[in-house]
Amino acid sequence: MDSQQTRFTALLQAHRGIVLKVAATYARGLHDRQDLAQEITVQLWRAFPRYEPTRIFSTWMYRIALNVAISHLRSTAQGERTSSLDEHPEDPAAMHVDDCTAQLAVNQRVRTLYAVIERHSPLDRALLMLWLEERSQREIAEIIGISESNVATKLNRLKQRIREQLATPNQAGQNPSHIPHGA
Amino acid sequence: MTSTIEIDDLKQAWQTLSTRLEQQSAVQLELLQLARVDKLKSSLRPLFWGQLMQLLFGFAMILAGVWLWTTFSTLTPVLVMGIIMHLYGVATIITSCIVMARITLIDRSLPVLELQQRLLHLRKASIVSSAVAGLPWWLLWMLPPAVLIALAQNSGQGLPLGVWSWFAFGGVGLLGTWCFHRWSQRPGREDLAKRLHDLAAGNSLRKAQAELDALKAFAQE
Repeated sequence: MDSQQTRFTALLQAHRGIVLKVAATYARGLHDRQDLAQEITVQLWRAFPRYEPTRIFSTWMYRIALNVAISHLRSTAQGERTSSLDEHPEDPAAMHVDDCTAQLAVNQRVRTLYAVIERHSPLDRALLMLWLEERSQREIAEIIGISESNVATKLNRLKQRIREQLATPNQAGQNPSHIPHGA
Repeated sequence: MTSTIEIDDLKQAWQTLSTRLEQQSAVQLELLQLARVDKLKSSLRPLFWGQLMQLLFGFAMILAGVWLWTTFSTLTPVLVMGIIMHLYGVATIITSCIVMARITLIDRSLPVLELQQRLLHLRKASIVSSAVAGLPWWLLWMLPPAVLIALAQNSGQGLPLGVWSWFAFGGVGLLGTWCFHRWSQRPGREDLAKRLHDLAAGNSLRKAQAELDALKAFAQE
């Protein structure tokens, strides 16, 4: 294994969560997520020789991962709404289900999160994901390629839309308005 | 006890999801996958090779055209046809070079919006390149027989009327194609127009257009 490969592997392992989360944001079902994660990894490796160490690795990684994911979403049946979670028992939102009320509540929250994500366009998903990741507006601006003030405006609008969705039954998933609290 | 999900609860759900994704380890980011990288083709590679073929074809047309107008400069019809082939070759080379240059500008590590814009420019260039390479053949396919006839006559006189009728037919076809394109652009025929554009742009760029539609909406918000 050459030094570049070693370096790339180390960085990839350190930031593998980005690949996993971007894949989970843009693809559903185990196989689709795996395919997307692999495609992101491939594109990262291809682009790695042009990566400048002076730049923040996570920002560079987010750009590639999101660009690949948006293309992937478009290529898979034009981003058609994916099938329900019930058809994907391997989905993280359905994991660890047992009789525990708290666990069910957690699962419901993740389902609601997925429902919210799926209602947005690919670019809005990128914004939403970066906001959920608690990335700074500066970093979001750098990743998306818009100004910081534009990021702030778009995030405000996005959050307002999400609030409206969450407040409306059946708009943000399976009856999200009333779930057991305390998870 | 029940409560409403608040927007900040989504962050908590996101953390849960992140933890589960790590635990699930459904995705293997092992190095062995990298060995397969070279076997995977870039989605834009077929477009690049297609343009390269078009470029070589353009060179061939220039060579044929130059040979005609230098060798038979005294035969006016052949001279004109040689110049037409020369110009066609130059046009196809220029458009091919533009598309190939734009392909090289596609870099996944660019900011998301910038990459989408570059894809839009690439798509437009590809459509123009397809039109430049394809549409003139309404007329160009008649050049070889017309050249042969002109050479057989071996005089500077004009071509027979029958040959001109072929060109007229080609002209009508070209005009008809243009009218059909204009007709497809009218309101209510967006689907047809999109299909025509997709056809002209090729499979490689269909994805790009879909992404760019989203980009426009995003930028105009």
